[in-house]
Amino acid sequence: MAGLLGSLSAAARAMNAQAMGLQVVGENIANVNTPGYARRVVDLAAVPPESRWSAGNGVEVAGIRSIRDMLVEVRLLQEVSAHGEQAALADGLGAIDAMLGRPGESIDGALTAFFDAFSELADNPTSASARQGVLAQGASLADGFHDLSSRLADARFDADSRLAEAVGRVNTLAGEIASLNASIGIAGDRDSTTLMELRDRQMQALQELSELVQVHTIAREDGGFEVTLGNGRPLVAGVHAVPLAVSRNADGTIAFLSQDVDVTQEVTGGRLGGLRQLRDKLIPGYQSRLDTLASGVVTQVNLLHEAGFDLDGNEARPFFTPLSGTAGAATSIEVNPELTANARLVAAATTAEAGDNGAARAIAALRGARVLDDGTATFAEGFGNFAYRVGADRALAMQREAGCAEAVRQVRNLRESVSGVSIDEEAALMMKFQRAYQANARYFQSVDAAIQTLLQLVGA
Amino acid sequence: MRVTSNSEFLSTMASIERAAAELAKVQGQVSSGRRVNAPSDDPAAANRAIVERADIGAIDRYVRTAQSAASRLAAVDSVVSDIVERLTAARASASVAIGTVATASQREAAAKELEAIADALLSDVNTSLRGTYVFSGAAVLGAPYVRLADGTVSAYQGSADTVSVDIDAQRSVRVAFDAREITVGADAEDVFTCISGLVTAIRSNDQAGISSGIDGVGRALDRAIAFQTGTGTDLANISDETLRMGALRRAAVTRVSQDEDANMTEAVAKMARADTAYEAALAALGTRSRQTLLDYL
Repeated sequence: MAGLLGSLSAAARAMNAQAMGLQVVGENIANVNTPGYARRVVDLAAVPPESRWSAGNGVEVAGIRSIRDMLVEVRLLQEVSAHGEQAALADGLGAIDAMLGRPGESIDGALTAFFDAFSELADNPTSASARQGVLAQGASLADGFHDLSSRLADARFDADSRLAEAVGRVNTLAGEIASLNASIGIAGDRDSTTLMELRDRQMQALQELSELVQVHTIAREDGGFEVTLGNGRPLVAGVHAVPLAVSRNADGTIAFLSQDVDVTQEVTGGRLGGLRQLRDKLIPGYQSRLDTLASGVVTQVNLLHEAGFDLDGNEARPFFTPLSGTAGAATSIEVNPELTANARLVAAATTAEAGDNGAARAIAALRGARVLDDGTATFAEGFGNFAYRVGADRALAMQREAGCAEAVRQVRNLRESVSGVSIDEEAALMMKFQRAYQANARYFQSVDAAIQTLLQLVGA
Repeated sequence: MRVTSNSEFLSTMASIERAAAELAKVQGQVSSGRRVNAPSDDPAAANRAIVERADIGAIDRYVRTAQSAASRLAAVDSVVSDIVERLTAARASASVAIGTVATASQREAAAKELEAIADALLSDVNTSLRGTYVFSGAAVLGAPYVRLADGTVSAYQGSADTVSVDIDAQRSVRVAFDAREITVGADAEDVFTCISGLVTAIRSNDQAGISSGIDGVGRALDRAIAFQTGTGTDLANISDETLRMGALRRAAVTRVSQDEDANMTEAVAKMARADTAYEAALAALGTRSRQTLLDYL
């Protein structure tokens, strides 16, 4: 009788264990699409027999584990960070690339029209309309420089607001990870379902954080993570988050501050790294190139124009308002307002004769003159090189982004193969636990029937 | 390796995104007919196209200048032809007065003809086109010669500087001239003074003066013919240069097209391939998602 009752208990324990298995399957299926979720498995263990003549005490749940490979998780963080950096670069450069448009539709077209106007003036040096044409095309060229320069500035402002937004999100995530560290410490029992759920959220937050900035993680004994930037600068220290701040240096570049210390050089990778590179390296480089081009146009045209004579035979004034320096030339280039007000002041001649066209010819000939980059490039080549730089930078960023996206996809697949939920697998497990439950119930029924038989004998 | 529902989904979605991106790219090429819509599409080609387009712009401008110069030179050529005819006529008229055969009335008639020719010559050298004088050098707003109150013709009023226009980066042609190339040359006096002296000599039957005057007119005729030859050469050069520019332009346009334009046959074929790949990726996701083990439980 005692043996039968023991069997009954063992059957009941087994049914509980299989039911737990079904519950875990249910949990896995429910979270099949939950980001960061690592599949759970239930560990069953046979209950050892009480004596050598006992068949055993059935089965019990030894624990529930989430399946996770930390090496894969860490690699995913690295790949996500690299992808974030290239994606930020490709996005930001996309706007600049688009503003240049097709060949002939930007400053290159305006330069051609400007020199055409001087050729027209050379053909008709006394023509009032040719003079107006020169002034109009000069203004159009200046507008082209202003437009491109202001779009570059806009792209930089856009990067500023994205940086501020990203830094805010970094701090939010750092706070969340610190808070999860605290919760994980309190949860204590590493096998508990609560702990597993906290770890899922923690890995998800780390992944999102890595997309924003490259971080290093150090596992804590209590299951939490220390998170650092670059050379070990803490971002999350135990249950405390160290906020990151962004400020602007005197030279216009940005600085990342952690506890009032400049950590800019330690903030690499992720969207923050990409946006900083775009804002403080690439865009200023483009702006400088554009300024050089604008400055070259102003300097060369003024040089020839000032050597000429206006329609009334007077020594000519500068065609463009003289610049104070190369920096900012693309923003400040403008046709001399005195000329705009009086087209007779435009110099076509190199002598005091009204019909002379020497100055206009010389300025028109600038289109083919190698006056940029130490006499190695024409204005068109200068702009072509500028467009090439932008296009090549974006093409490279897009290519790298695609490569990084593929790497992220592969590591995600790897993570999925370890931690992901397979519906087919869970369905098979469901069937397995269901069958086991059915068998144990049948066994329970048999034992119960045996006990009933015995009790009937006793009763008779 | 375990294959989970999400890994299949991620892989298939990545394929769909790649196929959709490729399809969108080639659709853009087919619809615009252009391969380079932004520098990043092909940075090196965009760079080349910018420089080539600037060259095409310069060629177009040189051709327009050449056409304008040709039109002006054709008009000048016509004027100089008139001058040649008039000087030839002047020499013929003056020849009547050579020797003792001509009567006083014949000499007077010759003198009057010469005066009329001088007026016509003055009109010729004072020709203006589109509001500018052709033979005043760079002083295009003023006539090279004017009739003075005493009936004589002034000295040259124009500029010694001529005006040229560029018909190529290395080539130019003159479009405004110094009338003295025809009217004076190396002589001590201009052709108007010469004819005026000739008229006086004919009326006074000064045979030495007549002979000297005829010689002067002859030298002016030679200068006019030489000038006309130069103008003709310039016109021929412009014609050659225009042809050369046309060939250069066609070559540049071909290069730009090779860099910028989509190869439509290739683009359409690519679009068909991308479309097929896109459909296949969609079908793969649909097919794979249709069945699971759950269907058999």
